[in-house]
Amino acid sequence: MAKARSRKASPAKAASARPEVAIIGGGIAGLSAALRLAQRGFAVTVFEAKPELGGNMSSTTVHGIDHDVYPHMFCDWYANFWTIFEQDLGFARATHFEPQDGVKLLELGAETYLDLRNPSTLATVWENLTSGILSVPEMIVLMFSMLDLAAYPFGGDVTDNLERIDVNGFLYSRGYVTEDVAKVHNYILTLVWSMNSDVTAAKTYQDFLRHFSSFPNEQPLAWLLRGSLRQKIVQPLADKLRDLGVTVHTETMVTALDIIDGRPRLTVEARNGVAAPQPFDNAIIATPAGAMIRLAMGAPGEDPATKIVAVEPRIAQLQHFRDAAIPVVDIYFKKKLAGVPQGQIGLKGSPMMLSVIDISQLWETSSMLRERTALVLAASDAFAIPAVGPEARGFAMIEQLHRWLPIFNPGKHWGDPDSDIEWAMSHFRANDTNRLFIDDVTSWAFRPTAGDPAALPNIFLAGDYCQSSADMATIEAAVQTGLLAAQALQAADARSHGKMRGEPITLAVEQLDGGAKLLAAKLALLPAAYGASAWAALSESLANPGGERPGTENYPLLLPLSYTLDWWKTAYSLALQLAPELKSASLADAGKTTLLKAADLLQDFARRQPGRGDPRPPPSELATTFSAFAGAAMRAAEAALTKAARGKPPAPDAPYKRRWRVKP
Amino acid sequence: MAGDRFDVIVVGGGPAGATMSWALARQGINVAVLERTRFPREKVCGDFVEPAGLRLIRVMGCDAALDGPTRLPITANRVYFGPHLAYRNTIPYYDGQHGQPRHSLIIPRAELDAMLLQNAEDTGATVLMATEAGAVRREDGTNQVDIRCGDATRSLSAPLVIGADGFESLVGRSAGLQRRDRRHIGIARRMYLEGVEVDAGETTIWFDEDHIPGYGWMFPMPGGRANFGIGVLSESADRFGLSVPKIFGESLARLRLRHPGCRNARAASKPLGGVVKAYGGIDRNHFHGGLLIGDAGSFVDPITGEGITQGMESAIIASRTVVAALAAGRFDADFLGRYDTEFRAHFDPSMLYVGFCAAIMRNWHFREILWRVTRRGFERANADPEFGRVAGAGFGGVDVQPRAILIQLWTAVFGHLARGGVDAVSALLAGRAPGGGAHDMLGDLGAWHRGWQASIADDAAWHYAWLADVARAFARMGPALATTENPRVRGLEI
Ligand SMILES: Cc1cc2nc3c(=O)[nH]c(=O)nc-3n(C[C@H](O)[C@H](O)[C@H](O)COP(=O)(O)OP(=O)(O)OC[C@H]3O[C@@H](n4cnc5c(N)ncnc54)[C@H](O)[C@@H]3O)c2cc1C
Ligand SMILES: Cc1cc2nc3c(=O)[nH]c(=O)nc-3n(C[C@H](O)[C@H](O)[C@H](O)COP(=O)(O)OP(=O)(O)OC[C@H]3O[C@@H](n4cnc5c(N)ncnc54)[C@H](O)[C@@H]3O)c2cc1C
Repeated sequence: MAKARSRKASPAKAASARPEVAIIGGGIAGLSAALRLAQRGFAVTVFEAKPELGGNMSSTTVHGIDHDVYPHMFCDWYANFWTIFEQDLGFARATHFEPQDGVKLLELGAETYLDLRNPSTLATVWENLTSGILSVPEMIVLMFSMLDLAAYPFGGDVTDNLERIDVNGFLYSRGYVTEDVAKVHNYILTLVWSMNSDVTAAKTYQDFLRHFSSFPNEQPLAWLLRGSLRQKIVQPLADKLRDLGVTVHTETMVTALDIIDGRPRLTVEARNGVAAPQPFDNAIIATPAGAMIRLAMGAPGEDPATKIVAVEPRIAQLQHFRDAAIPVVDIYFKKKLAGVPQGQIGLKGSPMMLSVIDISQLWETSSMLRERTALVLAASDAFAIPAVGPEARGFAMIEQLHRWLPIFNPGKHWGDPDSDIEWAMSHFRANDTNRLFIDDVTSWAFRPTAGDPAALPNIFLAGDYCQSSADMATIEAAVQTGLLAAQALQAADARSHGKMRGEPITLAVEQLDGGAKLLAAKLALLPAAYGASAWAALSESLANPGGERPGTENYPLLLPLSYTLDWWKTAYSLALQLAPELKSASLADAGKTTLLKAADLLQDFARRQPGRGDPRPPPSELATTFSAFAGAAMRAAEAALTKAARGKPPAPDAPYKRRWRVKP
Repeated sequence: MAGDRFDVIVVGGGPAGATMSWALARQGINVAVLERTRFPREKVCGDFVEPAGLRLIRVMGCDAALDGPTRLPITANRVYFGPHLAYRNTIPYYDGQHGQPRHSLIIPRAELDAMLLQNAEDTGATVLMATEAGAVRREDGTNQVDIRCGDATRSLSAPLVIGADGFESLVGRSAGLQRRDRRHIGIARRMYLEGVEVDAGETTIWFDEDHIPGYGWMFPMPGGRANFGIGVLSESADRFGLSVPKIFGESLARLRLRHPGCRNARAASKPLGGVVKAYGGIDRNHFHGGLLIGDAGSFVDPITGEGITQGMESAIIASRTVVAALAAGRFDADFLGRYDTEFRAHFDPSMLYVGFCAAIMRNWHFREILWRVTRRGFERANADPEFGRVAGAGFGGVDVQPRAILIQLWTAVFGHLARGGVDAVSALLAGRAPGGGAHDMLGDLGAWHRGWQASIADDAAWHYAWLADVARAFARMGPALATTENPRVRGLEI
């Protein structure tokens, strides 16, 4: 009804005319939506409050030098991002990105870097175990706990209380996890998302781990750009949009959004002042959650009846969403520093949770970078930085970096000419307005679904805070929500016009390892994990008798119990995964059905295996490493036993010799 | 030519057919048995009749087959693993439960089958010797069986036909229930020996690397004679090119070397080959107008290859369905399906367990680990009769109690691993020599690892299909684990 009336109100817009779509926010979510809709023939206008597009993926250019909000990690599993980069922009990944297999850690006072690699092949698992970050048994426990969480069958229902436990809650419910292992999880989380494990939802972390736990996987973990975000992504994308006829207004802030006759009406404020409110057929709000809520609720004095909150009052609940600023300083040196490794380096134990990337080894060499080192230094814990002026904060970060990496002279203050730093090129930004959305424990249930057309008339939401299969606030999450909003808009348009405009918009679907595979892996590795946990406990109690934590001396004795319980629970979950009909079956029937299902899976698998005499693929790295590993372990054990037997050969146990051959 | 009419036609006069016709004739049912050969005839067999079978033969009133100086009660056994004598003791599960004799007997099939069939004839069955069934047709709700006797052919009719015609069952083929699954077929060869001097009533069986999964046997009879043979799974023989005649010849040579009592053993008959189809491979044994029993219905023990007792038992169970069908005038497959339910209730608890073990053993590459484990089992049974009584019954006995066996075996396995682990760790910590336990355990793990790798390397597709079969066998066995009593021990009501 409302729709029909609105069309009469503007007769210029016949059914065949291109619908006018406003996209509020020029971050990667808004730009992705703009790209797809323009390709399908919609008339798209993008409004971006800042002078440059890109939002959290933007760069500020000072004296010709691009300073990214942060030089992003592009994970290999960002299927929808890579589709845009490779197919829409037509770029080759390998030309513009540098593959990364993991991160490096530097401890205070250490001269060598520790390697934490994505355990996606057995070789890297082995390297991790012996990396020295934790003792070998605790490293086993760490990796196993990741698998355990990845495999954990959360209910998938937002009312489920299990959805609301945080990472620590999950870890301490595991019998085998040690304190140090929990610390490493916390460290990873803080480094990557600036939030502690006591506020990160276990479900969200699980989602992240699931994306990494495809095993074996020969692809790199992630990729780093060989240039600035502006140069490599945002500018090409903006050019592409211009070619498609998209109108882009930068430095234009949308200050109000009203629903008039069932259609969005935008009030925008540009440098030259406030323009008259402008009606659109559809709008996508692709701003961060805070800006979206301000538009949805309206400012004091505005008519609340025309605001989104009048249609969808639940939007008011989103005000408790959190975000964090991650201060970053780009340090350009006067010379090349020796011995800084390539890729992301975490400064383990630094109070500001510093991490550093040497972009001069990464970015395509320009005259500017050829002669010098340029480090991008980020502080995941902004609260640890003294509340002083911006440059003083940047200098505080540099000083802390210097403690871990004492290979340069930082001077006495920001701008001190008696230092190795080229201050004119260096740049500090507090990133107060480019904040990272925080997926904390209870947020998932409140996060809106991107572009849910049922809720709002002709208005769609996008942005990394919306629900997506990527869950954690990442580029992929933002791209996905942009595409979902565009998809919903296209479908709604098709419903009201009876015809789909262009090809249906689709999303790339990622193939994740199923829960069953992860559970099976967990079941198989369970003995190793508990064994390792006992080993760790034993070595700790040998190292410091008495122990730090009172009451924990007897943990090793309880391990077998929690092991047994864990084993059965996992087996039961696996059974339910394989055959959901088991929920109502008797125990005996349940066992039988599960086994028969498992047998069918095996049979299926068997069909895909080479038979005798078939050409055989070269043994996978997995197979060779495993057999080498198992063989070596077996031989070592036998050798140790024989040695302990002081040369006494084992009791003959060779019935199996061909002694029986008789001469004819 | 108008055919003679019967209530039931039984094709095949072996133990299964004879038992069936006896059971029907004694209830006044008009039954004809067709037997291709003229008895007494030779049947390739080990001639070994377990106590439960002897009990049944006595119930049928065939005492003549059991008694007299020509029978040698079997009460003891020797087990060789290669050259190594792992077991030499009495058979611990011959304990006389439920009226079973405390021994088994070696009864040459030429004698046994003739006596059983004669007994059926005496009870009132019509026995047509030297009469071959040529085809079974179903017409207007009755079966027409074309027979050939010498050069004469004619046809008989009956509402029900029972296939008791052995492993290549014509009746089964006519009903479309043919089975050619090598995973469930054993091939064997046997001959009679003379000049054997062994302790009274002590059989010998052996395991050797060249016929795995399978075993060899020497069953003594009075007068220095013995039944000697070997059997191996058809699938393995096929996949690994095992030659049964060659193994057979070498086995005899080895037996002469290993067993002092067989030093002078000589062949007393021509070696003959035979085939068995094991219990695991069946889907159903009933069809419109008939049932399959004995070898025709695949009732052979998957590990020992015994089928005489099973054949007779399946006949008794089937006879109940036959009686009910005649009383109700129903001969359709739906009605006859009750036979399957009944024989499964009787055989599943023991046979599915044995079938599960057999499924594991099908993997030829695991021969080393299986060899190690079974050999240790026999050695333990030699010293611990209670262990032998329960676990040993899985091999060669009717008294299979899956749950008791599993509990016992797993206790042993855990004990083994625990002892091995504790031995190894404490030895390493104390820097002293580890005991045998640790070596056994590591050896087992190593053997398992090698077997697994060899199997995958040889034929990965087969390997995973095999694993699926093992899982299925285990799944099917599951419910049977809940039964504490094996119905085969109690015996059938007659
Ligand atoms: C320091 C930092 C490091 C990060 N590192 C990584 C990483 O390594 N890997 C990774 O995958 N992700 C990383 N992220 C997250 C990633 O950058 C974001 O998830 C993603 O860029 C969000 O995109 P978006 O389009 O949803 O929102 P944004 O990028 O926030 O875009 C929203 C846009 O809307 C504009 N806007 C707001 N209000 C208005 C208004 N009223 N009118 C007009 N325009 C408005 C804003 O100016 C902004 O440009 C990082 C984020 C930060 C902050
Ligand atoms: C080498 C070997 C060793 C064995 N050792 C033992 C052992 O030690 N102990 C044990 O219990 N079991 C043993 N068995 C198994 C046992 O021999 C059989 O399970 C048993 O004979 C089955 O009896 P049956 O009555 O079902 O079939 P069979 O004994 O095979 O009888 C079938 C009868 O049907 C007749 N027949 C077939 N076709 C027709 C036709 N078309 N018309 C008319 N008549 C027909 C045949 O002539 C035959 O007499 C062994 C088997 C083999 C091969």
